Amino acid sequence: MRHCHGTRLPRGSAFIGLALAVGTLSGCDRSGLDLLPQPSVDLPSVVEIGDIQVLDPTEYGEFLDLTHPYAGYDGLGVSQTDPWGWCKTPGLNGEDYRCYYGQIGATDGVNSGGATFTFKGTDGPVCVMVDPETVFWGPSIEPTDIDLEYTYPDSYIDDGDLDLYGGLSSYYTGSPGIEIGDFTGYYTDSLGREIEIEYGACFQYGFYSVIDYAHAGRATPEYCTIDTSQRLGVEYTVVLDTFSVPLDDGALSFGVVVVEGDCSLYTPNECTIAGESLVADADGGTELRSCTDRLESAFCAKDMLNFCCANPEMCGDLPDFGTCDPFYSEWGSRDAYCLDNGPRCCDGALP
Amino acid sequence: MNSRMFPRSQSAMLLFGLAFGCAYEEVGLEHKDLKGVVRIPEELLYVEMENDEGEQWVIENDIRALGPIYLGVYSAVEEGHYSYLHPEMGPVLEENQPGDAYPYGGTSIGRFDWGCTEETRCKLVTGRYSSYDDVLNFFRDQVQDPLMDAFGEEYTAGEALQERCYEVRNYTDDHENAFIAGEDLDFTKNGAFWEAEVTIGHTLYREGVTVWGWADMPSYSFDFLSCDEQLGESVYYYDYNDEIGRSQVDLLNFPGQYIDYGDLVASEGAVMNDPDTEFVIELGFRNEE
Repeated sequence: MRHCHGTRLPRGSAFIGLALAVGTLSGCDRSGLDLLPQPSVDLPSVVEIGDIQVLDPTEYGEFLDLTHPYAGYDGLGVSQTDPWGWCKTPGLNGEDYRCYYGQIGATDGVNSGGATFTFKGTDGPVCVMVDPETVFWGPSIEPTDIDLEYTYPDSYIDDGDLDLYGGLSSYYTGSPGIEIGDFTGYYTDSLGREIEIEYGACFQYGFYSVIDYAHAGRATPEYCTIDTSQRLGVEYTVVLDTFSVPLDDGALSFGVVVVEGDCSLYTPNECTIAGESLVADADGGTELRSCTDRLESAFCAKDMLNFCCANPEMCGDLPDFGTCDPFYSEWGSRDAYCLDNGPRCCDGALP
Repeated sequence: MNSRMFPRSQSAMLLFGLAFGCAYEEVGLEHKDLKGVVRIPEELLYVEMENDEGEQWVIENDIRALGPIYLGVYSAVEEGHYSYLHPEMGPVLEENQPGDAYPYGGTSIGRFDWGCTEETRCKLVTGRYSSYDDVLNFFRDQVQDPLMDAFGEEYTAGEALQERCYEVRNYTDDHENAFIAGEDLDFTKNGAFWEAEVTIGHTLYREGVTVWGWADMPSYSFDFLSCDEQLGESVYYYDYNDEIGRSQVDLLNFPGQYIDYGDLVASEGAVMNDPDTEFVIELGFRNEE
């Protein structure tokens, strides 16, 4: 009798095939949709804010007094001073706002989303700053020389990212409130060759300090100096292009300030604009997201280990290598720590 | 047996595939190599010199005094921007800066090179000197600023400068020293003209593009505006270090910013209607502004 081995799979091969099929199907379980926030029905993905005042240094000082009411505690206690209300007040020259705090929703994944606003040229340099919620740090995972303050990881699901662009409104290609655009124009030479020209005037320094189109990552503020020389009263448009929206609520909140002068005068950082993490309140407005001012304050003070061990709900997942052992060795318990360090605990007393 | 290793049908398929591979041609590319000649009238090749004491003299008809020649391919050239013919420019985007000429491509005849001493930074151009002695003679007799060694003594023999280069740059052969051209000088004399053949490699080509260029001529103190002394490769030799300089990066985009007094400019652009036709550019205008 002749056996036709060539047409029959060995028993081992059948097993491998079955395992492969099961493995492939299991792999399909992960769609990645959990990493995409759904568009919000309450929040539009494209927002036109209006006209924002260019603050002079004195007014900017007033703003900082409201966002930094307690010496030594950057950003703590903004709910007591209400910088949001101060910013909502119309500007001295009839602008819609003095500065702005707000929220935008996630995009549909196809079209760009973001916010736009305008300001008027001052005939000099103007510093534009934006800070998306909340704070971000990379966890320290080095096997040696570990930085204890950053061993507790950040909660990445509460961070958003906005990319800052700006230039003369006459060059802006978008439709405010409807569609996000850019500052790209075209020049056609005499032979018909079309050349793309960047008309944007908001350049950010990259890692090597060369002016380019660098942008910061999640939750990190962006800023640029726009030279408005010889353009007093001329309108500029600023675009806050949505790069990512927090996964936890699908709403990206942010704060914006525009100040006279070069940004090097102000050295903007995470601690400059405080209270930018917002949630909807019962009246249809927004309010400070609970304890985020304390999170930001602890971040600015580089006191993350104590803060996260005392308020684990504000940070990422607790690593399993005794991260909080130093905290408990020093303080014994959370209550003992909070008794002496009220501002560093979500339920602690203010200074 | 070969027939068992490569059955007839497989061999045929292999040959078929190879034949298709051979059919590949780079047709339809938008980029071309443009070839041509640059001519300089000898009566325009002179440099007015002046030293710190106010003494004046002229370097006449010496190709070693010629800086790099920058050639660009442009959409057009036009009058009216400067005292000389200049490429068509795009919109003015920044105050005090002309519009970008948006070149299609370009090249240079000669480039700045470092002569292994600080004094030669941004003063030596490749393709101009046949030997080390040629360099020393030119700076001593024409520029009247002899090259000095590390001890402040004048170089009197080419071998000493050669040795300096070998030490400082770790060279082992004269071919590594780009400013020594040997017999391969860029320019040759042809009647009343100095001429150089040139290829503008891989330039974007459209029918009607114009080739235009200029020669950067040195100032009274033998400096070249198109060279940036602060940039370029760094040279380290024990406790000595130097930046060797390099050409500015936007010479073809903003030529008007770098053409100064005494520079030689193409008095006419060469319009290219066929990329295979050789162009001729005559640097027949001496800028007096």
